[in-house]
Amino acid sequence: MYPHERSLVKRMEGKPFALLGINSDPKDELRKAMKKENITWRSWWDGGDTDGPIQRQWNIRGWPTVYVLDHKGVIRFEGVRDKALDQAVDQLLAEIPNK
Amino acid sequence: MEQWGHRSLVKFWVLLCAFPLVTLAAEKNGSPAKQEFSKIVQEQKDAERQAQEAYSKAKTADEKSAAKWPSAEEYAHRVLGVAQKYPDDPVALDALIWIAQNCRRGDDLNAALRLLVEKHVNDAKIGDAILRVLHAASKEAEGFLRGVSEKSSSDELKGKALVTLGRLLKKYASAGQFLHTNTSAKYVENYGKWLGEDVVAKLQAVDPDGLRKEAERTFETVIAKYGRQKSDSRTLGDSAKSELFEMRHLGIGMVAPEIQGKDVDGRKFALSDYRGKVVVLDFWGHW
Repeated sequence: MYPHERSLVKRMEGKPFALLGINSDPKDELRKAMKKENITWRSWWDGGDTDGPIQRQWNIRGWPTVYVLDHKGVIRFEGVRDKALDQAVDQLLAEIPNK
Repeated sequence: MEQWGHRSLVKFWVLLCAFPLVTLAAEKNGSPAKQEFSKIVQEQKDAERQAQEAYSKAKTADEKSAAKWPSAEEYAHRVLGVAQKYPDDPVALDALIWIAQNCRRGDDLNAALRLLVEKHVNDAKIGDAILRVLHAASKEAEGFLRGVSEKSSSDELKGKALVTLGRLLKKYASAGQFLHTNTSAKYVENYGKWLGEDVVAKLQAVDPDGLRKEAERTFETVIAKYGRQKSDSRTLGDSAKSELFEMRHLGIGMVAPEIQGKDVDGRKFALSDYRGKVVVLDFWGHW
């Protein structure tokens, strides 16, 4: 997952885009992973295990789980990966009206 | 003669001492049913271990794909045989549960599920099998869950069966929705492999919205009647509420609920801070 996410984040630099994580690791492991894998995007720290409050509310039972939201905050895709994730993001970026 | 007598005495003592050992050994290995069942399970575990070793040794992609993972289905027929041969041995139930927990489809799984409803509908041991049978996603899995929810006298088992039935219907509803909008033969075939062709044919014929509503009603029943029953660390009521929340607020086309929290350094941020941008939410863990 990480290499693809890194390239997606890089490709989206300067565009109205954000990758946000919800992480289920203990704090020290999360810090280590972010350093080792060069993770530049933000994550909510969800209590250190897979039963954290955000994951509970979102009824997450598998990891990783991905949702893609448009600029209005509407859920548009779920469970897309790799190429399909890129396509989803490109499609939603194109929907943002030009300022 | 004297010698003979002495020898006989020794033999006698040896026999007497050995006797408890013999019975202990039988106890340890269990009944014939248990021995047969354990032997098959061990074979399956050994085959898994060998496949694992072959896979980790394999260097090329071809070698990796040749390291075939042994499916539980290959062993299910013999496990079912044990349950049928020794129906009154407690091992029969263990054997049926093994099939229900490890197999995704097939006649043996279906037969095992039918036997569980017929004979073991009140046994607390079937609780985990009820939760796991969701993977099977077949007509028989649905029949099993409905059977337990109707016939069991245990509130815990009834509740678990209804939560899983709700999840199955929810899965059917979203698969049905997809199949109504994507009608190409390729999708139908892939879904057929996943859910079984009979289920796919049914999903193409019925209104997915009806399935959705039935799933919601099922979760509501769990909350009203079996909400306090426990499953792992949560109550069934909490599980059912999460499922309803997902159906009502986390579907495609719905506005995502707010997320507020802190990052690893304690800095607060919220999903709504990113309104106006395309957002990828990634639930992840580094394990």
